[in-house]
Amino acid sequence: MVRLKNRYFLCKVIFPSPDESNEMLTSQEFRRAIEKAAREIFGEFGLGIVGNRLRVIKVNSHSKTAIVRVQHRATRMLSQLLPFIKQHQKTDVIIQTLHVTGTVATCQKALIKYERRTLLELLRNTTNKDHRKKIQEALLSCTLDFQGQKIASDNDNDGFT
Amino acid sequence: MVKFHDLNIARVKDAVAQKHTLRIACRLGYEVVAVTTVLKNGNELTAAPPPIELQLTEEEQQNFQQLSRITVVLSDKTNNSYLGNDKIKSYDILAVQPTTEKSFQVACSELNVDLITFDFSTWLGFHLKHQYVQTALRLGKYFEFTYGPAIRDTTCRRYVFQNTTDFVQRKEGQNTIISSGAEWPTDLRAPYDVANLYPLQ
Repeated sequence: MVRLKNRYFLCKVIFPSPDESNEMLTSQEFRRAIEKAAREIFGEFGLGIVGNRLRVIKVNSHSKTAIVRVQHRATRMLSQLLPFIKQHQKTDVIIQTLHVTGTVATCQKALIKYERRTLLELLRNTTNKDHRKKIQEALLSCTLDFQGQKIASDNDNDGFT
Repeated sequence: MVKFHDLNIARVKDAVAQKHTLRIACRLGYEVVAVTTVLKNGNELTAAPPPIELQLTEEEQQNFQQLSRITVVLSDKTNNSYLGNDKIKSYDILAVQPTTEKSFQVACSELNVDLITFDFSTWLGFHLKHQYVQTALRLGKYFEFTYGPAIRDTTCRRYVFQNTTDFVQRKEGQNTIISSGAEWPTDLRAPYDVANLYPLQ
């Protein structure tokens, strides 16, 4: 039985321009950016290899993360072309690869771990009281107490598309 | 734990832009960064500007070290005795960028520098002779190239790939440093992504 193997990249998208605060990350645009870079660096052949089972699975425009799937054979190619992505819909970007995993589930676990760490760092560094309160609420909404019960109500507003 | 270094962040005149670049470098995970001043005409060594260090906020400063570096562009006409200058000594790192075969030979064998840089965005103008490269390696020198031009400019990209392939074949991977040469924060890339670029050569 032939097993179709994929690789899932957890990418962080950084918008370096100071006036980028409300840039929306979309899966279509991100896919377009990957295809453009693939064609630029590896040509039509590379575009084909990378584009075979290419899918931008999940994009979180609040935390600016994305999960991208490629076929196993294209892992190296994708990891080498991600640095050459310069723009997402006319805005300058830096793509940072956080994790490469074999299943979506592991990738999502990695994403959760990363976002939890980011939230904790944000909590440590915020000076604004309102922001602090919001972050604390966010952390509590995904925390269980010692009995394994949820402490606060679940907010369905986590920005996944 | 390995500290990620970016030993070539270009010095720009705008302090705000420079701070922003450093801030993005810190965010991407770099812990040691060198702000590079390029001295294009080697004979103007006495007119070198003093090194700068920009103040970032306290929490960013914790794991972040800024070094100052000066890159002197060498040609056949450069008077190398100026490299012992006090102004040069006030920098943390001294690097040399040869543009001709003769200056490359001198940089590899005689000059008291640890870092030899190349501008790979156009024709190098000379070949990296194996003999000189081996001398430099024996003396413990490091070679460096930047990936910034490849990201900035699609036309330069071809030359960067061409030159780095040649470079890597002649050196077999020893004593190589890859850095960004970033003029603005868009040119920076995260350390693991840069490491992924190396096998491309």
